[in-house]
Amino acid sequence: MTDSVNIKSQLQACRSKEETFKALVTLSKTLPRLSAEKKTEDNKVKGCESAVWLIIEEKDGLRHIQADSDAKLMRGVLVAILSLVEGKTHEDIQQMDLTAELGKLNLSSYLTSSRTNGVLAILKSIQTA
Amino acid sequence: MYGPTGIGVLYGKNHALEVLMPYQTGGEMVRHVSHQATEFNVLPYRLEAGTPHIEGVIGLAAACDFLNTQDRLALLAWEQSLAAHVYSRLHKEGGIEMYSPEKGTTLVSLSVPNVHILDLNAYLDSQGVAVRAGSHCAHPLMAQLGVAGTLRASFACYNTMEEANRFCDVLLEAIDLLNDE
Repeated sequence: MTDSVNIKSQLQACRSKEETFKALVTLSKTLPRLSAEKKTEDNKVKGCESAVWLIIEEKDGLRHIQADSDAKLMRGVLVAILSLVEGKTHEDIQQMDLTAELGKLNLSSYLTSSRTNGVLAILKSIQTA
Repeated sequence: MYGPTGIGVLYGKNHALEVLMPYQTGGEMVRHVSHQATEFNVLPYRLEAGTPHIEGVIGLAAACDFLNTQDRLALLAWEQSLAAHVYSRLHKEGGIEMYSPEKGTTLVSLSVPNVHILDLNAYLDSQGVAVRAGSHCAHPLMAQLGVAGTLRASFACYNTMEEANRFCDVLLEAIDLLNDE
């Protein structure tokens, strides 16, 4: 996966909705896809317009998250979200203002309101799991 | 109707409205209240509690006035011609599932296999093209059609042929960007 600094600079360089769209499409290709048996109802995030699955695991006190979506742009957004939280402790993740972090990546203005709600549901799952 | 949101018209016959009890209380719907008895106002006031949706009423009236100055059949014919044009252009492209009929409606409804409609929607949005994407409050129909949802472009009388073509161009660009599987 592209490292988080790289993801950040790619998204921050975007100057329009179109550029952000294209950057997310590019990022979406770096997300490893989940196999069909991992896309269970239990792993599904409620409140997303597109289907989103999250698998959150902890190893040696660090969080490792796998995610997938049926929508390409959402996969790009997931790459951005995971770059913020992957490999951090639960306490660190809980203390982060993820909405603000995504805003710094030009993502809050880009996502339509109902999708933003979907993203908020994802952030909530990640911070409370 | 080009009016504001949150406003509509309920048309009812007096004898039917007479039997309706007020469902909400507030200003003007009551004539007299005491500890012993309540007397409601006459129609329509007793069914119109509180401050009305003033700006909505004024906006809706303006929309009615506008429509009354227009040749409605000509508007319909124009909207239908835009939709038929878009249908024929997109149908020719291939790879796009059309759900609306070829002619006779003022909208097109479609999906693209292997491309999520929300992704298409996001690209159209990034290009300033406003459409609807989703199940359009018709989940059983979508299940019957075997799709997660459709993308729907509805035309209004003020849309131009240029805009109809731009919708097609941007949609085709989006498919190009998104369909790499």
